[in-house]
Amino acid sequence: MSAKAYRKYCCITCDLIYDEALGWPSEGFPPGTPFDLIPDDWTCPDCSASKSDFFLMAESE
Amino acid sequence: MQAIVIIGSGHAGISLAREIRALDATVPVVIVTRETGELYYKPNLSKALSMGKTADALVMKTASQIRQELNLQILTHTEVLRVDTESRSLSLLREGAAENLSYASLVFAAGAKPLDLGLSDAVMSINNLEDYRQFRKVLVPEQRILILGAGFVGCELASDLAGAGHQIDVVDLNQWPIQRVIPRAMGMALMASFPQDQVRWHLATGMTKLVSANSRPPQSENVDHVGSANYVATLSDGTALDVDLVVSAVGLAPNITLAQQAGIRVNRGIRVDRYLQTSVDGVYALGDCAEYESGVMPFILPASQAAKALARTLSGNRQAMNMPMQAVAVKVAYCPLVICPPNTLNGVTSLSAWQVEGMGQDLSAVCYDSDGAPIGFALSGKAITQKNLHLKRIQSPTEAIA
Repeated sequence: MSAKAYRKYCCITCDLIYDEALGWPSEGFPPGTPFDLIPDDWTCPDCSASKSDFFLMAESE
Repeated sequence: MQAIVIIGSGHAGISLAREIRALDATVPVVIVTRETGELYYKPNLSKALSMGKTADALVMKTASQIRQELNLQILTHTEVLRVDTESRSLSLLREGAAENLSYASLVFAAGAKPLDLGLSDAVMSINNLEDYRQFRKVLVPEQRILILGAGFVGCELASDLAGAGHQIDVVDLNQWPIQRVIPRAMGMALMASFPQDQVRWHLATGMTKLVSANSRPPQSENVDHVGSANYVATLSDGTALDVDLVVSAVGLAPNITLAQQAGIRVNRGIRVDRYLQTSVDGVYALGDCAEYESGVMPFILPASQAAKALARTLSGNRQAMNMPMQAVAVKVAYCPLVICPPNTLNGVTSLSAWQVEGMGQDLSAVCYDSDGAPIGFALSGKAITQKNLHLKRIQSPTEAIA
């Protein structure tokens, strides 16, 4: 199957989803950027929650 | 074992409960709310149409999901009638019946209520999910909508409703939208970005009268666009507008009455120190009802930060709140904004020392204090991508100068 399984992380405060497949280009993360590589001081583009306030989503979601 | 009791189930109250649970799996926590206890992200109330979401689709978790996940009690549809700080107990009215509830610690996360202009009962406010459900029930395509207030929420609502095809009039007492925290040039660019055949701005004026169109006096029949509108709104500059719905977004007042009646020190909000403690031992406040040392800060991030600090304090590890610099996104589809308001806004009506760069609607503006240090910024259009750069500069201004 596909070589790389991209994951999704959800902001606990505002429901924003960081999808590794899409990255977040306007925040400086090209498509395919793993969540782990995002700096720890990065904050949610919507609600400014900390990176640690994102939770890994179940694969079905 | 007596509980930590939290009044309010909004972002502040639920975040606090979640942070407490992360530190302590067993301490009893009770949330008392007059609402349904559903968790939603309040800023979405002014952008749900463009997100393609109904009011129900904004619910992130139901009360029973929260109860289960966080192992706590939520008393829904419950009014707090009185707080007795001597006996450490609350008098509740829960589904028509009186109850008492004792607490070990009490936290006000009671939010804020819309300022009442007292002009007409027909003026709607959208301050919680239930208000939004009501609004969506009466919203019909092609209605003409009058928005009072061109602040963060007023501008987002105008964008959301214009995007859905509505005709919009926006009224504000100021000279330009979001005047308190953006420079004039950016306000002008923001207004110009809206489709002009759909959105009209009435600035430096206010609504003085709203009457049902049925009761329209004969002499005022020559209004702008006479049709089958529900209301006629009169502005202080003499303009008469035919409108179907009127939504007020003129601002919020912290809910302080309950605290005040309990003898807790209040000013604009419930006064708290750096530890979120009120003037009474064991009683705390955070979120939109609180007045921090730097003032009332009715935004998401200060409440999130306050929840983290207070959870530590309530778990026996006293921690002061760190008031963060924050970049607030204003979701206007035609011209998105990111605003970092200065943390010393108390009493300030308009910032003056702006330095603005850029062209058209792509502007970056930095605001300086009298010593020349940057204290806030506002970005619009394509310039919003510079958010993180500006935020870093303002968090450590000495580095930026060096």
